[in-house]
Amino acid sequence: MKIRSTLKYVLLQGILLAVFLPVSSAASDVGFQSETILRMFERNIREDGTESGENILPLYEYLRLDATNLLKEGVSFHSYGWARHDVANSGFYSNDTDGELLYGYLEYAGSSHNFLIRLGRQYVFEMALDESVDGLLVNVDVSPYVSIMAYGGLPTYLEDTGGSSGDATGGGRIANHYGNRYELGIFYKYVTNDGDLNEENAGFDLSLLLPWGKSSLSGRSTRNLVTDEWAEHSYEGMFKIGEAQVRPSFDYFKYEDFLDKNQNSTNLFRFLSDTKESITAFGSDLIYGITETIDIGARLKHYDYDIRRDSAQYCSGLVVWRWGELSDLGFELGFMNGDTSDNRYYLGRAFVYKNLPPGFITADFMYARYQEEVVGKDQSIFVSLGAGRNFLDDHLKIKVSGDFSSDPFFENDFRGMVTIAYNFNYSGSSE
Amino acid sequence: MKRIGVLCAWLCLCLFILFACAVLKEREFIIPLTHPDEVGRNEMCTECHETEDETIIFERYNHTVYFSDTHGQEASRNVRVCNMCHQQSFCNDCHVTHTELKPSIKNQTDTYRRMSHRGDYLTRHRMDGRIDPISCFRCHGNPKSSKTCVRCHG
Repeated sequence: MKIRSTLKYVLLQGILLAVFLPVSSAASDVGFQSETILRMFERNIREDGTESGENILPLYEYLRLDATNLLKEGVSFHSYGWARHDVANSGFYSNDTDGELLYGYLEYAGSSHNFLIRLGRQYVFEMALDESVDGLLVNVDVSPYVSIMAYGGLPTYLEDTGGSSGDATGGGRIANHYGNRYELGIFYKYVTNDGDLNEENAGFDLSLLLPWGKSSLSGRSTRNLVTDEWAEHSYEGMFKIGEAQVRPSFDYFKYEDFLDKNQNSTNLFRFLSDTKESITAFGSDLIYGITETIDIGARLKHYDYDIRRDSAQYCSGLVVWRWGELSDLGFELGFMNGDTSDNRYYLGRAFVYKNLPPGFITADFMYARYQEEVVGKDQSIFVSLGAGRNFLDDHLKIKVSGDFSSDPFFENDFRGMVTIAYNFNYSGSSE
Repeated sequence: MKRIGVLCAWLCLCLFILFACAVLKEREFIIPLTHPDEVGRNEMCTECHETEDETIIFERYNHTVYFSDTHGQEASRNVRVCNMCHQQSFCNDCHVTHTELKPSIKNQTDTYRRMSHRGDYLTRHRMDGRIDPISCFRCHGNPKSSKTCVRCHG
């Protein structure tokens, strides 16, 4: 059954490609990307009351298809998804789905008014609107100062809960803007699941260019119309002081109104929603370019709660050296000072990416020290080494990597991965 | 009744704004589908674009060392700016209904990207999740994406 659905997806992509290549004729541009990933690791699998170590060999295929200027300029088709097959037939993935079509839509982008219309499975990203929808989206600038976006269809993330019958989602955003000086948007969305109203939110978002230097303020507030309470206030600023950039932020969430327990996610969020707790998080990032090739960053964040008595803080610092073209060397140290000792840890990381055309090498090292033991251990070590090379004028990339982890949950865990990525691009418009 | 009144008030405000703006004329800015020139990794938009007199605050889109953590509001405000260089599939490494490989595994060798959940996150997520569960909910808050969590959390 699992193999059949995997092949079904691969065949679908192949059929779509075969249809669009001839239909598109000489004026179309077609892009096709395939990423094949083979992972290797060992896990204990419990079967019939006994537990044994098994080699797990999942083979993943990620396929993306982009065809632009189909029949007419501005018309395009885009599709992307993944599928997995357990080569070792270990039973490790017996309860998991073996693939997903992430998006597949037909699009028309007009030459004026930023007009855009999309039909199919797509992602809607617009301020607090973050949805995966099987449906229609329309975006247009009705004037140079006003934009409207509206969408409607079936929420893809609810198709596994009682089927798609009675499921629906819709919403939109209207925004008033004046160049880059300010933008004020009002958004709304609703979701029904099996005929019942699951979620109904509205709110506003704001972006303001401040009068002094290259500084701005932006953020949004979301109101849960079902509970009739404000669920979210998230705001951040950006201030440029010489070569330094300071980004203060403020977030406030009420669990009962933001963690929608009707969405049938995990018990964990449903439990938190009942606690009546709220969280206020504020802090700032500082980014400074010491030289043209060295950047340093610092982060400080404070967490406060309405019901929990103590607060928590997180601080970190990092330095990144852009060492040669497309090569980076970086170090980072962080400390999470949780409200209780079992929520405290130190974290260190060192990484390198060295570009050696036509290939590269990478290394990554992470160390975490926990104030209290977790399953009898108070530290974690993670090491990853990788390398890759390009072939066929960078159309083919082969990457290999191996990593080692020793942590509270895995003792001396070795994992390997091979990735083969292939890009094909045909430009009919250049002929 | 109160909710209907609030919605009506918002609708009237929106219609007024539409009418007021429709009578004005100014140069229209169209975001291109792709960036005109080849841009490399870690590119700073402000190396070529000035903030003043532009329709987009390019300073906000500079890929600084923390950009992988802070790009949320910029991307959601104007995803077409991101789409000039990044395909939707690039965003789907993290922002997706359901994927099995966490981004730091799928892009194991992209060490220069500060991707979520790198290293032993199984242990750290207990602490991060207790301190700020909202940070988990954003990506794992729907039935498909929560399959990662359901194994242990039910």
